[in-house]
Amino acid sequence: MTLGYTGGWVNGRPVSMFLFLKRPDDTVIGYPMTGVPRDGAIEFTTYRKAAKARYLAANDRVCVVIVEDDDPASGVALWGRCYRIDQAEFIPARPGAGPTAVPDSVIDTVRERLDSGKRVVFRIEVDRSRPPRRVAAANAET
Amino acid sequence: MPKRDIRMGAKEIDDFLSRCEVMAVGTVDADGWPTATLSHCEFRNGALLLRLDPTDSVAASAVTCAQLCCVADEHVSYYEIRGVIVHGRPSFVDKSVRVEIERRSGFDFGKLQR
Repeated sequence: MTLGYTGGWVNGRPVSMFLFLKRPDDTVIGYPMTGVPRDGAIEFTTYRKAAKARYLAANDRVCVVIVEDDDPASGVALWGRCYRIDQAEFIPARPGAGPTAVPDSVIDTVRERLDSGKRVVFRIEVDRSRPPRRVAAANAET
Repeated sequence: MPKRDIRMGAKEIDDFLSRCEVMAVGTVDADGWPTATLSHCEFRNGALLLRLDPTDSVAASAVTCAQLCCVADEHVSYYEIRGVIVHGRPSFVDKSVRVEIERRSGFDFGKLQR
């Protein structure tokens, strides 16, 4: 699905985001993550045995807040369903492409763990979004 | 090889929350979907004070279902990536949301190098 609001994200250029999902006990947990926009969807990797992978297998509904690189007080919220895709479909970001410089050795390790199946790839198909919002400053009048 | 322990201690989490100004806060909405937004935050007397008023849909859902998860991170460089996840019970106080912290955890990638 094509997003109504794309945030100007570039295909394959990593973004900082917070991923919120439901656990089996119906509570919500959030994780700081790096996501990779891809054709209107958002992809990310995690360990196959990670708690979030188990939670997503049980409930695919997620909310993601993507934060502006140069203004962490601004972000857009997206809702959608999340599912695993073949690791071979994932295109790792180029070194230096994301908001945080990642050492080459770390990129190599992620690639190896994707190849071995230790890490897996999830894709979020976005159903709806909320326009960008900037949080009120501490001293703002309400 | 044993897995490195990158968990933060209680003081490290306190220090992180004390300098944190913005958190992503999430809960469950009336349709059972996770929902979230960004909020200004202050860590005061062991609780979080969020600048979200009762008209905010995430704040209203959080108070209704009596649960909120607050997350923040820092990522100046890879080995300076740190993050904290807080679970708590929210209530409206004046025009803000006060979160009584029930559980919290933190991680620090800097510990991968030690």
